[in-house]
Amino acid sequence: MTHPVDSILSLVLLSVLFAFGSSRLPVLIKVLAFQGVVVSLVPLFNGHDLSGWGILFTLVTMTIRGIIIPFCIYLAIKKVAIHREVEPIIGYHASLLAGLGLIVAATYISHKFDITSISTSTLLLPASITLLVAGMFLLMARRNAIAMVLGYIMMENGIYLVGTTFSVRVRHIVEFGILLDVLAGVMIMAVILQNIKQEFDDVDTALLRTLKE
Amino acid sequence: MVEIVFLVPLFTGIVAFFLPRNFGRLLLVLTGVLHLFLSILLWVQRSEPLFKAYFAVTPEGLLSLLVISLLFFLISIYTTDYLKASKIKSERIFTGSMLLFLSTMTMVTLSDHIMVMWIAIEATTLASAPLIYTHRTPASLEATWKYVLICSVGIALALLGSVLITISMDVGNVDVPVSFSALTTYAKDLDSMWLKAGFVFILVGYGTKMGLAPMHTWLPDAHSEAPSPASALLSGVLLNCAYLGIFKTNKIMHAAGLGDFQVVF
Repeated sequence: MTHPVDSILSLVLLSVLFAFGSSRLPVLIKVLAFQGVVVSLVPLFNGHDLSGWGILFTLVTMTIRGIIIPFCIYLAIKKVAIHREVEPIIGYHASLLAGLGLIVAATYISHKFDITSISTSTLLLPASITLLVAGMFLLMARRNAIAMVLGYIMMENGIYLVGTTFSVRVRHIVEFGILLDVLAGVMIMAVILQNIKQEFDDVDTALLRTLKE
Repeated sequence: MVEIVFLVPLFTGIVAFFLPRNFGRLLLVLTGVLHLFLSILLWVQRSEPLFKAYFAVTPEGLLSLLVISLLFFLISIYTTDYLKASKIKSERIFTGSMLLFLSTMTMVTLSDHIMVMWIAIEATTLASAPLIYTHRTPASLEATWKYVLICSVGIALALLGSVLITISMDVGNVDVPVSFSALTTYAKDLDSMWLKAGFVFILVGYGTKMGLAPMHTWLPDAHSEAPSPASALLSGVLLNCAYLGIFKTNKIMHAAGLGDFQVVF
């Protein structure tokens, strides 16, 4: 029988491929907002915490990951980007192929681990590994500074997805602290982006090469 | 009430954002004196933390705390003259960030919960980023961008490592608080494969923040572009804080009988 989480996680896997193939920043942000919402809903489906606080916390997570963080980046784009291309170092077709390879590799690796005692979902581990590595891929393969921040957020989503398996142990207050740190980090990055734009008139990281080492 | 040691600079740091310049300088020195006093008090008579699940006074933490406190006290005196001599446009942001930076570093030394440790170390990155961009030059902007991005991504890997350690508790059926002290006691029962994986990610993650090669590339740039008081704090004590995270995980590994794994790695 298919675990209920698996159906939405398969959409996350597709969204990774979509993100690899898209050339425009607004599309990439929408993909990330979607991932943020799905990832924060997973604890509800896992079913181990359906108390009032658990549901409230899930909603707060969803608001921050799915709405506030993408909106921060969207505002940054509106202010700084003239041309909204992601300026790839590795082309879109090669990225897509890499994405497919990544999903296959993540599924293969996940079969080596036995986490059935923690979660019965078959796609949880492959999806989180894929998100994690895909985020790193975006960081490396795109020259646009905004795309790099988006890669970082995708990585964080992947880590949160691994973390949903253990939410019984860690109190909500601690998870909330982690979330606030990520939010503050993204906001600081957005501020730096605006300064980069003012100083260099572009957010192309190829311009940031004066400091060696 | 151990928490007061990092709550004092947190409070004064927030206040400093709204105060005029001269008060900010005075506040920096005052907090330095008060923080040193509280740290020594903690050394002389060990008091109990209010939130025992999250904070604890450990010998290694206390040692780093005293180093931080002493260094900050000396720097705060030097900074008063430094600020008079140099023309920093946004001095309030500088003093505020210095105090918040002190607060977050103190929190690292006192934290016992794995995730609280991570939160505190990530917070040090965020609090010190404005310090590096104090001079508002293109080079300092580049250094700040590099610092924030590389360290955030690196520390995200440490978060993954911390999560893997909690999975090792789940798999090994260990039901204790997720704190370094409890895990060291019950280290033998943890699942060794997930524990090893967790250690590797924590080493890489906090290692990035500590400036271990080959993840060190942000370090020379950030340290050289930051104003000298901030640079002194970065190289003097921030790296020790990141090392504390690795050291505490290392203790769990030794207690679990996996000490030789680290030598191989």
